[in-house]
Amino acid sequence: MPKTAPYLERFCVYLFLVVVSIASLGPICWLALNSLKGPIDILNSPPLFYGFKVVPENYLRLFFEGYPHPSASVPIFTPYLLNSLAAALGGVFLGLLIGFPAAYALARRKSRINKNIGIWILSTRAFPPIAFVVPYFLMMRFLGLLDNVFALVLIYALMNLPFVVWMMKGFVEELPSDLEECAMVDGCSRTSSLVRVVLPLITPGIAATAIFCFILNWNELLFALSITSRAARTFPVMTTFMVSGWGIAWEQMCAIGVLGLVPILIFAAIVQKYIIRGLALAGVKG
Amino acid sequence: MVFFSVYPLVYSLYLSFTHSSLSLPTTEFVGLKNYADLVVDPSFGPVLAQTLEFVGAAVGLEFCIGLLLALVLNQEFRGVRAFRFICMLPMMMMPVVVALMWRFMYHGDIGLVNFLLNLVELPGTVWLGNQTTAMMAIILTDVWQWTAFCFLVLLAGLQSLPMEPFEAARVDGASRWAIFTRVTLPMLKPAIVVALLFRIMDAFKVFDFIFVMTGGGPGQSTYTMSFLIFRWAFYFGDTGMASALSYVLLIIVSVVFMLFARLTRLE
Repeated sequence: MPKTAPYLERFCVYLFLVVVSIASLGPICWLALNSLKGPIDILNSPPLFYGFKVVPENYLRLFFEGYPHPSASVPIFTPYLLNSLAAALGGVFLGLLIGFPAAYALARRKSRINKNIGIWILSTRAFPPIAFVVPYFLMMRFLGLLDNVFALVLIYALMNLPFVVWMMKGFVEELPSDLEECAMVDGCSRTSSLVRVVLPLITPGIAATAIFCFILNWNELLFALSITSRAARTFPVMTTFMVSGWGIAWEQMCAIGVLGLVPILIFAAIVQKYIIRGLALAGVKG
Repeated sequence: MVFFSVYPLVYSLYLSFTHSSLSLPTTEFVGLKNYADLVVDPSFGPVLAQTLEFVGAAVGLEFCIGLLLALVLNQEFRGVRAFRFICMLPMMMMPVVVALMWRFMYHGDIGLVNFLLNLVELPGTVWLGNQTTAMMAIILTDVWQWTAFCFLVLLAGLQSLPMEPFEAARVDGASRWAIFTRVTLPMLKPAIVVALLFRIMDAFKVFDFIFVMTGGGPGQSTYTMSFLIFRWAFYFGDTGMASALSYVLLIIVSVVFMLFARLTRLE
């Protein structure tokens, strides 16, 4: 690269970054802007960027009114939000609880069978989820877990498993096994060396995996829609109320989209510094 | 847990050999008839082709943009953390909301896309209502949301690489292009494999975007395998055919997998 290029190069790099940033932020800002419009302004042609009447009703309705019909007296926003949180966090927790020992075993005991088990776990992710809907529905009915948050926790944990196992396997492989052997020489059992040596060292990795799984669970719609009806409904199901035979309540939909992003941003802000470092630690070993 | 993951698979396999329906109380064993019906179904070929087109175009674009972004944002400069965060944002949105949002923006009369195109004197169109543009519009939506995933995984991969080989190559006088193709790419292979593997699997399963944005139309121009399964199961109520189709999709994904593993010499 000739010496005269740096300025031009730096300019191109920034231009590229700005274009990508506008492309990824633009639609989100547009969504946020539209969530403040009334039902008439939002359908204006050409689209309005300013000069419309700012209305907070789209958010207030979500908080204080019942859906699908305003006359339903019980507000559903808070219970759905709590269901969503419980299902998403429960799924992450259970997924990690089952996935971590599996990943540890796969990483430390190399054998042909274990390799096949690893690939089989990965391949469950390749099966279209829609094909699981009917069997899951029948199973949950059999177990009496229909319309129960616990059913979602189970399903989400299973959904997270391939990702958890493959990420964690990478983390554990990255740790030299001498560390554990030292601990065991010093009198730790395998379990306690796992808890006292391995776990603290891979906390960043766990955080990174957890946020990925949380995003996946929080946004999951298909199973939430099909195996819950009233008591256990989750937040994303609310979007379906906005699509009716009369059309789509765009401004309400935008408000839901914005609110749905909030918990993820909070969660991401908490573990943010771990995300990239955690992934880097995994070495993403495939 | 094994029960939870094995039972649905076995149950679907069993269903795929039966004539069963959501509205019929009985199931009748018909052997391979569902699979035979599938192969002669005239819509099977085009739908498979569209699925492959979607997966190829979407994952290809996501990977290229993601790699470029990861390379650029792997350097340290002012504002790099903000850019990294912005690039991660789309992945955090609910896919349903993303689909609705883009459907709104692609709208022929009140959409943002046509408005912006008109500003620069380009003709707009009804993006999702046009046989030639509908698939492209959906691909772009997928690219918008999931480039972030490729970017994150590749960035993490880049960050975990040791410095020494790069310095050695520079001392030896290698050009930047040579360093990229001979040092960076081979060392980044594990991250590349993970990014592509997960993206390809998920792209084969694409459903939300199609269901929300076009419902498979116009005509059948945006049908994908996953959407076809949904149609068989919940519009025609034929769970037998839907299960058979799921297994066909699983086999196709496995074949792609093996080709991919062969090409990258995974493990």
